[in-house]
Amino acid sequence: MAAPGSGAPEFAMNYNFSFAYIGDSLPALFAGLVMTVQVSLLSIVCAAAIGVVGASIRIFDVPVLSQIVRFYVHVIRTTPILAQLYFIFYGLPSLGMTLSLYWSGVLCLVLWGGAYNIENVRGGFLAVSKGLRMAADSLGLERAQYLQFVALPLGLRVSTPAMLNTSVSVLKNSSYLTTIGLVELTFVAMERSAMDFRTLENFASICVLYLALVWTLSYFVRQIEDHLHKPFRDGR
Amino acid sequence: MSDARAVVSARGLVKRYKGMCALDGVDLEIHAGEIVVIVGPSGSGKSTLIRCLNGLETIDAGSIRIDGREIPSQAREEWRLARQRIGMVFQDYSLFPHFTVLRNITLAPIRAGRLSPEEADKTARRLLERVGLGGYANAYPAELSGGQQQRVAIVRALAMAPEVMLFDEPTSALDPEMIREVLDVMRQLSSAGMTMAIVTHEMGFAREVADRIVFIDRGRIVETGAPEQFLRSPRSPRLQEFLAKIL
Repeated sequence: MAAPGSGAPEFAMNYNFSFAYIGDSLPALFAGLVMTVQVSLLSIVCAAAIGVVGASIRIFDVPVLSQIVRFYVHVIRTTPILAQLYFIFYGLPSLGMTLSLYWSGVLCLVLWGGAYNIENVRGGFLAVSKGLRMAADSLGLERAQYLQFVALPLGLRVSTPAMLNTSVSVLKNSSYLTTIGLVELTFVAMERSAMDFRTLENFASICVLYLALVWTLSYFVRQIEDHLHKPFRDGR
Repeated sequence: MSDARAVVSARGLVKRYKGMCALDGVDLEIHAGEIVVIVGPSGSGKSTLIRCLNGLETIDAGSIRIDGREIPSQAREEWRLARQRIGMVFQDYSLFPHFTVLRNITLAPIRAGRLSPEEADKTARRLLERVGLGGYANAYPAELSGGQQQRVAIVRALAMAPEVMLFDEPTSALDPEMIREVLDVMRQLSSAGMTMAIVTHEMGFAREVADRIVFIDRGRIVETGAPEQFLRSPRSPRLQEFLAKIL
């Protein structure tokens, strides 16, 4: 569709991208970055733990608990994370449970990531052959020993890529916490944009920072993956 | 018949899978020092039977006694402890792929509190030597041939010093030239007086080592007897048909 009057569409290309502005923003961005990293890291670790515990409950079909875990995973996966966050931050206080901004945010991310990790780890457990479970049983190993020595080391190998995916999502989802007022990366960008109208600079900066965070996270997970795979390599 | 000497005894075993009857009233006793070979067409229930004998499968009716004591299917902990005295070898070896041969063998005896790590290590190496795998303690399963893996699996079961060994088609997944090395190890066990129940298609081996051969078809024991009589003059038409196909 052509612009009225002239033949060619017109773009405003005279925006003056200011690196100096980004330089000035660095301290604020850094503070936001620290918060994002802190909240995300804690949530990623806790979500991984929930994944392992929840998947173990499911795989051994522990009565009652297994049903609870199923229900929890179902609820988290079928509702938007923003609704979950508001439920925790604005809803729970009505039930007498008031959490700080920070802990509301962590709880939200942990519950979200945990649900997905349960499915990730469960998939890994299911990939461990039934034969090995039977072999462990035939040797008289306890369930916990099977879990520790067979299912976890073998299953986690399979589920690490999926867990990395979930962890990256947890990291990126931490930007939702801006909506309840947690001063993390996205919050800083929004706030500074509102004050200085330097929207492009602010959001370009945080996108670069998020990218760097995801790369770093992926790098560390790959290290873990390499470590886990070591015994399969040609031994000795 | 007295159960006094029966290490494992099954009475009236019934096992159903989704309406299909895998075992339909099976009685079987394995006495101390005895070698029972179980044969039958595929899908006849042989593997199910042998897995019921150490509680790996729950049963729908009947009873199983270990050393004269009945263990119900739902007594999971009791079964677990019983299985520490019942060795089992699977068709697909089922070695733990992320552990070395040595760790595969020593894991259970150490975790069960049977042996100290040093003792377990010594036992494992001695047993490996005996099955001709002395140099493979630090290898990973994937580095071994099928026959070698199966010998490790036998050693893994033996390391728990079981009273009885169950074999579920131990040579069915092996290339012909590797079958012998596994059967040789089983022969060693037989001459050492090990009590064994073996599901196999190796009729020559069965004839040689078995005290009794049991023919199972459609979840029932059709015929049972000493090897010579069993193979020379089978009575039931089903067994005659089966032997004609495989011999």
